[in-house]
Amino acid sequence: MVVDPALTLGRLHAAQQEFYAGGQDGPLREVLCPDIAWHVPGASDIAGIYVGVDEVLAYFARRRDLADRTFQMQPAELLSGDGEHVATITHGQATIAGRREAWSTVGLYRLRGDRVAECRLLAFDQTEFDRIWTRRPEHTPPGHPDPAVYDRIGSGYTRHRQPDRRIAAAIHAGLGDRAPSSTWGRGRAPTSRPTGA
Amino acid sequence: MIAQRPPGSAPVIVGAAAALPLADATVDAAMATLSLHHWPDWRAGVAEMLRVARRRIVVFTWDNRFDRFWLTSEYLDWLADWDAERFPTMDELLTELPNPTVTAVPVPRDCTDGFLAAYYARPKAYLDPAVRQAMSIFALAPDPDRVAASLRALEDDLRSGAWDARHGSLRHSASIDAGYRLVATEL
Repeated sequence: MVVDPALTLGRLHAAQQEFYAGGQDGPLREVLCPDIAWHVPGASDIAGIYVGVDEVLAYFARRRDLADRTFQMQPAELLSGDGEHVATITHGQATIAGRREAWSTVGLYRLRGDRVAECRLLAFDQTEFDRIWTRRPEHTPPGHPDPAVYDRIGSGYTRHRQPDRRIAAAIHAGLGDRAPSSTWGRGRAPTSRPTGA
Repeated sequence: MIAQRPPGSAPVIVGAAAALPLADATVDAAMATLSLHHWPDWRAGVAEMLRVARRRIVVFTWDNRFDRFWLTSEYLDWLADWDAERFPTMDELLTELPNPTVTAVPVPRDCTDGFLAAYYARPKAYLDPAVRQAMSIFALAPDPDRVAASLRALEDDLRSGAWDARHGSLRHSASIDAGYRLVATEL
């Protein structure tokens, strides 16, 4: 059976829209393969690999709740070739933690019959996507870093906070190294060692 | 900050200093560089470093009792007072560590890591908003209007030559001690 990918993805997007607005999950279950795998790269609160319909629906529910049902998707171009993969460009917007956010992604889908077997969600700007989809608690629980501070510091480090080789040497000496490492990162620590804090 | 690291950097685990997501004695060394003043409870963070490290603790920090350099003594003394409150004193920090050694770390004239004193010999750099934004004292400064006014005084002094009359020799110095200290403990 040859199914037009546009029809399958059209059903998927309509079902997502309905669910994100607070609707039922029935239409989504109808369009996802039982072994669906949904890949969300990055470091946000929603990043992960979700396998199976229940996990994927829980992921959708998390996005719906983070955006408090304001999440809207605008599917744009669909790109398809001869194989089982198709891609769609999608523009999203939502109000998250009181802030109007907008982003764009490529959804790279693998279809099986008239259902979706796999999705990889590839953000145009992964750093921005991660920021948008990471929740910032209004009150910092004890023992947790203050996200407000870490959101406000650290900008421009790539340009203005390059490790200094002489200070690096002093720190390496403190660590008991015989010689400074030649591979320093742009952060505040040598790339050769994991650091906490 | 994590996203700005180059490919191939060490693994990152996001966690809180006061509750490191590591088991006891699982790393050779625990290190914090110009970081303690951002922790809600620095003592709890140091206790966690002691818990997870097997051999060494290294803390690169700033001694808030040390004599200030020209920027923080002449132009931004009020902001430096605010910043100093965020750091533990050296005595307080040393109390939390067994057998610590303290080493002064001079700031080179052409320091490439733009922390607060890094541009002591390049005063014009402090007038660059991008340079300031990469320093937490400015990124978190409580009164941006007052910061701007303080920096206008610096700009005026640079233009008139008053700064060079007082501090121009710094432009040719190799380094200064601005109170940055490396505190190391062997466990």
